Amino acid sequence: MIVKIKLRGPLRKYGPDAEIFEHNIDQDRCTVKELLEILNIPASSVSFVARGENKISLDTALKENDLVTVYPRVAGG
Amino acid sequence: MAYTGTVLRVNLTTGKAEKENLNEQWAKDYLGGKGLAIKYLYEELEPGMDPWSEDNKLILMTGPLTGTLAPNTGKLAVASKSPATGTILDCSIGGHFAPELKYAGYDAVIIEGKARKPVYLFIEDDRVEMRSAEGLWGKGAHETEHILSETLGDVITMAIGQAGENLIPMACISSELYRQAGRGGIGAVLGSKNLKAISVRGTGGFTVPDIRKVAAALNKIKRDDTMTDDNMWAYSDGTPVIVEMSNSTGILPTHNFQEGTFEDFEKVDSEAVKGALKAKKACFGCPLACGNYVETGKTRVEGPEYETLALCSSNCGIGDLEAVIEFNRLCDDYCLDTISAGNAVAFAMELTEKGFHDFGIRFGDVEKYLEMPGAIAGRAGIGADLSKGVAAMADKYGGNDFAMHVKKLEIPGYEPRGTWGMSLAYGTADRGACHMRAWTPPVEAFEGGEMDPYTVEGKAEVVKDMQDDNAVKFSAIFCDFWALSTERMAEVLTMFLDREVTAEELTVIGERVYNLSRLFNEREGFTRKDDYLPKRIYNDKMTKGKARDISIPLEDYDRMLSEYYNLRGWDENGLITAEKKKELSL
Repeated sequence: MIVKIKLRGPLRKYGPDAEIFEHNIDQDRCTVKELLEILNIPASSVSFVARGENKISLDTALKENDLVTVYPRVAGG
Repeated sequence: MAYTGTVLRVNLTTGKAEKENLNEQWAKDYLGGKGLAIKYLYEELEPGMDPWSEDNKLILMTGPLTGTLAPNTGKLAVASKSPATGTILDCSIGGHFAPELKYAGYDAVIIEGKARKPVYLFIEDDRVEMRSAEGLWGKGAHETEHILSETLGDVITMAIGQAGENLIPMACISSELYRQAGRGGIGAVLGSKNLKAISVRGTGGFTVPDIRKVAAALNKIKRDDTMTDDNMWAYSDGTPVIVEMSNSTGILPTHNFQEGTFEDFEKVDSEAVKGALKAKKACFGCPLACGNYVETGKTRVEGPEYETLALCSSNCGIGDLEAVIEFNRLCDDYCLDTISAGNAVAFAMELTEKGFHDFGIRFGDVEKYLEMPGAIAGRAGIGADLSKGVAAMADKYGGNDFAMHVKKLEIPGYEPRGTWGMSLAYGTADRGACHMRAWTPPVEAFEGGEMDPYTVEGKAEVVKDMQDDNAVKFSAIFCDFWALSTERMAEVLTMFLDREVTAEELTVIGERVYNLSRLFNEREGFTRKDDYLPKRIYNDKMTKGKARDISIPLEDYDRMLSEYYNLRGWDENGLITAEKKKELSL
């Protein structure tokens, strides 16, 4: 299953130097949480993940060609 | 000892400038910054005093760590009684003014009275002069700073633009071109005193015992606790990264808070801002450098920050980054708070589109939008109405239900229907609607699943704890972009104070500071009735995005507010009980 991924802020370091990249997941079913593990992104560094323009939960199962954006933790406002 | 122990008191009416000792007991009880400034104001201002009168005072307050090597401690608290709200008002301004003031030998400057003619204040160590500013009056903050640098040499300046001179209640103070003490009309307090600017040069310093040990410890803290994933968003993106996050969670104010998502968000998000980025900029001693200095073919600014993007872009329906940057630059030069200015423009747009009054400006109208900063600062045309803020506009033209303010201070860039704790944060913020007293989106709208954003359950405790944490953080003066624990604050303070500071002590100080600000407002007549949001938040459901079909039922808000008062030890009317005052030594 191929998904498209955008990493935001300091999380960029966990992917290639590109705004969007594709990742081929070698399994039929993959949740957001599992995707973060595959990409070696510590869950503690992640604020949330969105599919398209909407936040999704870590338990959401991804679909072929999903575009997901991973946001960093932020402080202050 | 990182306090200088000296306060400079300047009376603009008499022209006298005198040194006095810092009140050491107050410094122990309130630390510095926000808390200590509010303590001085609480003790020195008569209840009911007109904030526009010369009886009002302006306090510039450093913190115990100002000017040290401790990271993210370079800000200055600027406090007064707000002419916009009538509440206590403390603002925070970054850059390099605060350490320069400390190096000149002062923990604080208290400015009283009113000059007969425009003046600026020049402080160079022991030398304090009030000089004529008649040649500067009428000029923007940028030109004013430039002229003062040419005249005085190497100084750091805080100045007001035309908005402050014209007593616009959303006027801010500017420093180093692009740093602002933004909210509540703090710049208009300078204007009301005929004080155009304050320039400072400090050539002193202070000693730290065992500097090698302290420097090594601070370097370790910077490496392990500052330059980490939790904080480096400030360097990689700065606050614009929040645009996309807010849009994805349905809390990006759009079209005067009618919606929480903006169809053109990608034109103004962090990636778009990066496209115009020329340099990163930092405050004194900050390794995070959140400032984005941007240039387009036509304009330049340091920013736009998230708040400007939310209130002056999506909230006005302006999906044109260059226009937003220019609007931002104009506001900075005239010295207008972009949160309040963006709200006033958006409210005028909705009043026009809904037929309440034809201001001749509609959502997305870039040409008219760019005329607004000058019109507001100069009270020209429709700017005369907008300059008074949304509460006054609603009094004149109607639309109270969607005049987005609390206690007459316009609401910042987080739509509360998509993050319910934020409604309580706005309702109970000490200076009117403010996102810097408690900022709940990270724990409810953003971070995964632990707390439902669309319930009031548990929010009262979250908001209270955040308010107290930030109260002590802004009193010790740590930047809010450093996500540090109270234990870490205590560790760093202990390095520079001649006593051991504990996390428990800081927790009490935070609560004491927040209660003192409430007590100030209570003395001015504020009660529970003033802790509510406009009816739109309770009655209208948004139609798009993650928070569509959601509003906050008023009975739920009432329940949350009562629970909050109970946790605080305040009565049902929001007044601080005698027991709580005694407990906190108020």
